Order: sequence, then C-alpha cells, then structure tokens
Amino acid sequence: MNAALICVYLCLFTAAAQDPAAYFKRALEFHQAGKIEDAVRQYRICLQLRPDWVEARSNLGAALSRLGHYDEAAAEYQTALKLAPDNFQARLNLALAYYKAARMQAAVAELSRLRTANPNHEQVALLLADAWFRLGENRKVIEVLSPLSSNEQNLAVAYLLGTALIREGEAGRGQVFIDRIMRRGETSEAHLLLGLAQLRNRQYPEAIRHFNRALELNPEVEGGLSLLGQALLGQDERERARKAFSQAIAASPNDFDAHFHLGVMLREDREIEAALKHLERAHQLRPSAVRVSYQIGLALLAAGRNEEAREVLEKIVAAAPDFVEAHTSLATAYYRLKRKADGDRHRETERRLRQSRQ
Amino acid sequence: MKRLLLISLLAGGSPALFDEVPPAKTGITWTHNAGRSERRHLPEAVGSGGAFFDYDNDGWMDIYLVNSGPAGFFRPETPLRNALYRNNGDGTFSDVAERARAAGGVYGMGVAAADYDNDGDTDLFVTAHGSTILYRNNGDGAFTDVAAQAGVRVEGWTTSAAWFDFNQDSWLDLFVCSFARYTQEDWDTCGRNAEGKPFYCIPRQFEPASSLLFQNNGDGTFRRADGGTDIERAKGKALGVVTTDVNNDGRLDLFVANDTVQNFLFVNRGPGTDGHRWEEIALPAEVAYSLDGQPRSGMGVDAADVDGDGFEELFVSNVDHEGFALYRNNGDETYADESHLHDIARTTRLLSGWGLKFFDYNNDGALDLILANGHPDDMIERHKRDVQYREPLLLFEGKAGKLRDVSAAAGAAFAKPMSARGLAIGDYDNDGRADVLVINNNEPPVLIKNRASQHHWLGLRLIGTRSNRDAVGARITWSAGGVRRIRHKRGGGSYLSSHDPREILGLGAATRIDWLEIRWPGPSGTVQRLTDLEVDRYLVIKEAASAK
Repeated sequence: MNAALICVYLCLFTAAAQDPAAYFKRALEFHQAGKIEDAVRQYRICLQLRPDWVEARSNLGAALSRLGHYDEAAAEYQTALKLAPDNFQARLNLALAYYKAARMQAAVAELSRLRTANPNHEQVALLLADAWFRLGENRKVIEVLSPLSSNEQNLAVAYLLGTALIREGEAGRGQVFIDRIMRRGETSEAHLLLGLAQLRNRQYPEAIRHFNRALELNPEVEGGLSLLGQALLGQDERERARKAFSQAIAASPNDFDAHFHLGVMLREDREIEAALKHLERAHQLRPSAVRVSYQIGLALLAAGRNEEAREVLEKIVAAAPDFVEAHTSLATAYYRLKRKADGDRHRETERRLRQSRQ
Repeated sequence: MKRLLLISLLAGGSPALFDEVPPAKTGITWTHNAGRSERRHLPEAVGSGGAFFDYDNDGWMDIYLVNSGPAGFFRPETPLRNALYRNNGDGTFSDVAERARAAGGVYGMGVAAADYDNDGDTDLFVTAHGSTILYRNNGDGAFTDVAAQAGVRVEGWTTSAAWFDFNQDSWLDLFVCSFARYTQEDWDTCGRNAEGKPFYCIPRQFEPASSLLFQNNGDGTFRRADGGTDIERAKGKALGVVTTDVNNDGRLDLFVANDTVQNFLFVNRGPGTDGHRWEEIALPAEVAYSLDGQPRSGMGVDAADVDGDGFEELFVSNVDHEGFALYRNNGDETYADESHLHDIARTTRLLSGWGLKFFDYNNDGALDLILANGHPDDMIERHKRDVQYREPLLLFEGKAGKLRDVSAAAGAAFAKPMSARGLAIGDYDNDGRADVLVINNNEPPVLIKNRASQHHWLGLRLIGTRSNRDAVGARITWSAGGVRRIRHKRGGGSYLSSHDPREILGLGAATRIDWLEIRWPGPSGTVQRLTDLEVDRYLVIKEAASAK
C-alpha cells in the first residue's frame, strides 16, 4: 500500500469518526436495545463533536435517568433548554428527572411552566397534580385536577382527586370518585381510597381491612404499606406500624409519610439517631413541611444537641411565628444553652399564644 | 420439673401480692354518688378522694371518704354524706361521720388531713365544687367546720390540697388547687357529641384559675399568701399537688399538675423584702409540657427519690394517649422525662391516671409505684376502641433503679377494672405492710390488703415539737444491711387524697437498722440520730430539744 492510498483511507476513516450523526445513530441503537451505558458513551462523543444538538442532549438525559443518575440527567436537560427554551420534551424530561429524584418542588416549577404553555395537556396536569400530592398540597391537587374530573375513563385522575378530597375532609365529593373506581371492579386503588376515608374518620379497623385488601390485590400498590402503617399507629399497634413503615420505605425509598411517621415513632421511643435519619429524609422530600422540621428540632433536643436544635427551631418560629409548640421547644433550647433572656422571651410568646387559644 | 411447674401454676402459683377485702368483711358499705345526669356536668366525672388518718389517736388508721352533695347543677333526691369509718382494730370499720359531725353536705371533691393547729389531733380540709370545709378535730371524737372563721372558706371549684410549712414557722400552711371556673353559663354551652348527647366538656373550654396559698397565723386563722407571687400569676387548671424539695435547700417547693395547660413547679425562694418569694420554673425545668411541647391532662402527682441520688423525682399521671411522666431530677433545677426507661411509657399509653403513690409495697427498701386509673368519660368506649371507661390498677416494682410492671402478679385486685379517682396508702391493720384504698367515681371504694412482704420493716410516727407537729418536710435517712436510703415526709400527693402519715421503712432481709437520722424541718432543722432500734414495729419519735 503506498503512502497516497494510506492517506485516502485515513482521511475517510477520520471523517466518519468525526461525524456526530453516526455517533447519534449508534447511541440511539444502543438506547433502544437497552444498552444504556453504551448509549451514554456514544451520546457523549456525539455531543463533544456537536454540543448544541438538543435532541442528543435530551436523549443523553433520558439515558442517564434510566441509569438512575437523575442529577446528571437534569444537568443535561437544563443545557438543552438553554439552547431551546421551548422544547416541550426536554422540559417534561427535566420535570420527570426532578420527580424521580424526589425533588418535588423543582418538578412542580417545571411542570407549572409546561402547564401554562399547554393548559389542555392531560399528562402534564396529571404529573403536576401528582407532584403537588407528594408535597402534601391537596388543595393544589384539587385545583389542577378538577377540570379533568369529567373524564370518567381516567382512573388516575379519579384516584388522585378522590384522595386529595378525602384528605381535605371533603368526604362527600371524594366518594364520587371512590364510586367511579369501584364501578370498574375491585381494584387496589379503590380499597386504598376507601381505607383512606376510614382513616380520616379514625375508623382504624375498617381502614386496616381496606389497606390489607389493597395490598393483597397489588402488593406493590404505591402508598399502601404507608397508609397501613398510619392506620395501625392510629389504633396504637406500634410494632406492626413500625414494620409497615419499614417495608414501605424498602419498597419505595421516597415515601414521605413512611419516613415521617417512622421518624416520629422512633423519636418517641428515644431511638434518636435512627429517628433523625428518617426525619431528615422526610425533610429532603418536603423541605417546606414545618411539622417535619419541628420533629427534627425535637429529636435534636432529645439527643442533647441543643445548639443544632436551636438553629432548627429558630428557623421554624421565623417562618411560622404562631407555632406555639416551637416557641416552647425553642425556649427549652435557650434555657439549656444558658441563654435565659432568650428563653424568657419565647416563654412569654408561648404563654401569650396559648392564652389566645384557650 | 416442667410438670411440677405446670401443677404449681394450675394450683394458682404463688399467692397474690394484694387481696381486695370485701365490704361484707370490712363494713365499708358507703358508695360515692357523683350525681350523674344526662347533662354530664364535668364535676360528676372527676370525684372523689379519701384519706387514711387516725382521727381518734387510737393508733389505728381510720378512713374518710368524700361524697357529692348539692350544687348548682345537682340536687340530690336523698341527702348524700361523706363517710368517716372508724377502724375497730379488728379489720372492721364503723361509720361515725354523723356522730363526728364530719358528713360534709357540699359537692365534695377531695380531702387533705393534717394537724394544722398543732394540738395533737388530725384535722381535715375538704375541697369541693362549692364551699370548702375545714374540719377542726375537737379531740373528743367530733369535728367543727371552722373554714369561715379560719379564713379558708373558698367558693369555686377546688380539688387537691397540700398541708406544708412553707415559711418554716412550725405551723402548717395550706395550698389549695383551683381547677377552673365552671358556672351555669359554662355548662349550658358545652355542646353535644356525635350522637347528639351532652358530653363531659374538655376543660380546655373553661377559664383557668389561680390556685391558693394560705399562710397559717398560728392562732387558728390563715391569711392569703399568694398575692403578688407567681402562684397568683400562674393561671391553671390544677388537679394534683405535691410538696417536694427541688434543689435540696431545705425549703418545700410545690409541683402542681394541671389539666390541658402546662404543669407548674413553684420553687420556694424564701423570704424577700416584699414577702415570700415563689418562682414558677416548670418550663425551664422541663416539667411543664410533653416532649412535643404539648400540655397534657395532668391529674395525680407524687415526688420521691427513685434513683437514690438524693434528689427527688416527680411523677404525673395524664389521660389516655398522652403517657404518664416520670421526671428524673438532674440536680440543677431541671428534669428529664425518663418514663420510657422504665415500663411507664409503654404501660400507661392507653390509660388515664388519677391517684398514685411511690411506696415500698414489699419492704425491700426500694420504692415501688401504684397507679389508679379510669377514663373520665363514661361514653368513651363508643368513640375509642382501644380505651375503656374502667381500667385496672398498675403496680410497678423498683429494682436496680428501674420500675418494672408487676401488675400481672399482684392479684385479682389489679385485674379488676375500676373507675378509680382517689388513692390513699395506709397500713390499716398495722402489720407493717402498706395497704391501698381506691376511691371510685360513682361506685363503692375498694380496700386492698397488702399480703406481699416477708421483709423486715420499721414504722415511724414523727411528732414535731419545735417544727410542725406532723413533721411535714422532715428528711429520714437510714441504713439497713449497709444500704443507705432517704425518704421525705411530704404534704399532698396522689389525687384528692391523703395518705397514712406514718412512714414505713423497708429493711429487706436486714434484721436490724444500722442507724436512723431525722432532719426535722425548720424552724429547728434539728438532726436527730438513733441507733439500736428494734424492728418490725411502729415507733413514735418526738423531735428532740436539740441535736443528738
């Protein structure tokens, strides 16, 4: 082979190797074949060659999501959205990455933007409602899903909306959706809803019966074990409740209710370090939930970590000045820290607030 | 071996620690009548109490039982009366209330017994929804109500009371718990439950009230001593009170259990330029609220040095799902709720507690604990599946600094559900074993005989000569078998009730007491040391003129 021929071959090979479309094609093949790590490698090479390729970047985000690397995926989607701010799929994928990473507030922000731009998009509305649901914002769920409530075929809407209504004490309106689900036959979701209604009414044995049936029909039904734990806790079966919450967390590591209730139980049983682990996870899942922060403050006080407790409790009373128990606990933290004047100040506040409640 | 054990269990195993003594044996046939009405007035749910005391100084503990009576919301069809059961010394009692002119006549709540005039006879202060009564013991088998003349007639709703000498002038002063303002206007607006029936109002609805402190003038009269102090400023819904010495400074402090508002811990700071100083420190001391910062429904109280470190712990019973609290004294005017380290938190979670007492039921020297329980609402079983109206007593045995639930072995009396309220401890048969009197709401009282102890003991009746005659506030320290223990002679405690004023010191297997030391309360503060004391008997010890 002479030198000229070698040059032709090399030049042709280099040209092919430098073609981002070729890498994108190969990445797509790997992606579709379920060879996700190989796909990621090919997407990355493709994007080195053509960093502004939105579709490739969005696909890389999707592949990273499949691997559970949600933060990296979100970074890729964010880059894609800088290039194409109106790219619906990239924003939806970003929202889903946040959702899967249990960053619900960030998911809500992206989904809200999508909903504003696409007010009739049912999947976006449902995802947004689900994210609000996970943040414990039942009123928002009702607001988002009420316009879709006439669609009798969408059982997901019926389930979420029914649950939110029952949690907000609107049992009558919630019953409509329970009936709608029941008409489709005995389903796990229907029993969850029925159990939830009983749980709200403190009818714990009935609630437990429905939750157990829901779990029989579908052992993996989301929230089933957590709700069962709450009902068991309601009738003071603490050991069984503890087991249910632990199983709920094993099945769904981002189950807010299971982390929260198990954390509170452990704190009450003075297993403070274990309690803090669950409460801090609950806090990550719902950073704005003051009741979680308060439980963390109480656990820190119980552990004698008074300075840390003070910091947490100070933030709570700043955010919720009428939270009387937080003033009480903050006063305790100050007294322990020998800051009597500060303790007396919050003692006076808690006394005034309690008097106004009497 | 297994078979032998089975036979033993089938045969009943070891004998019960306690036995109920039926009315047919004792002659105690009186029944509490709460005046139950369809309207369900709250006072109907919270009474009543009783006392072990020796009204005729014959050395046998008599029993006083408080009944309801006429009130704005209740007109009894037949007159109701309190009972004064004279102990006949043979296990039977005779009701002499009418003859002794101590039959009440108000809607009574509780009783606090003490010799307030240092004349050698035990007097009675009866609390009520209505007018309080001060029965001065005439010393001739009869009493005279001198509440008005003495300046301790209180109108309103009073509950527990404690006699103690707060200013160490040798005269017993009186602390009276005020519950809440409950007038016709209040009971008309209480509301109805889900069944459309009137229910016992949650006390949260009622206006709180200040409790009262009366200073004994030493001439049979009293004057109010709470004005301008934290006692007056602290508005609560007080149901239980016990004296304690928070910081071992020798001055008696007060722990007050409140219903639905914070508890109070009034620390006696001694005389000041503007009068006696009381500082309410429950919140900084961490005995005001639950660990969640929530007020609980405090009812019965007691204090005792449970862990033997020389500082007294505090105990409060609460309503179901709140848990009872055992506050360990940290020695620096703060406490830590350690109910979870004992069997207390787990065992009491679903119970509602009232009368209670730390005592040494088996005379092994370690303090045990008895709790009397019962839910205040007679309709509770319709609304809560896990709570009963009548609940059993609980007995905890102290061992190695921990309280362990031994109720299951305590006998049938501890398996019997009761609507218990008051509880008094006393050795009615003088056998050195502390017996139990439970005063039930709207039902007969229950007398329970202690059959537990095979251990040695020494019973003390202290008589102050320079300090108050009942020696409330005295500190008793003793050593038996090389183990040193401390006991305070306290005022108040339990719920609406008054205990046998004698102290029974459990000696365990020791057949002799190494030494006994009594630090008498002020003004004398005399420390009296005794040795070579015979055991398994009651001794009367008079305060010596000077230290020995």
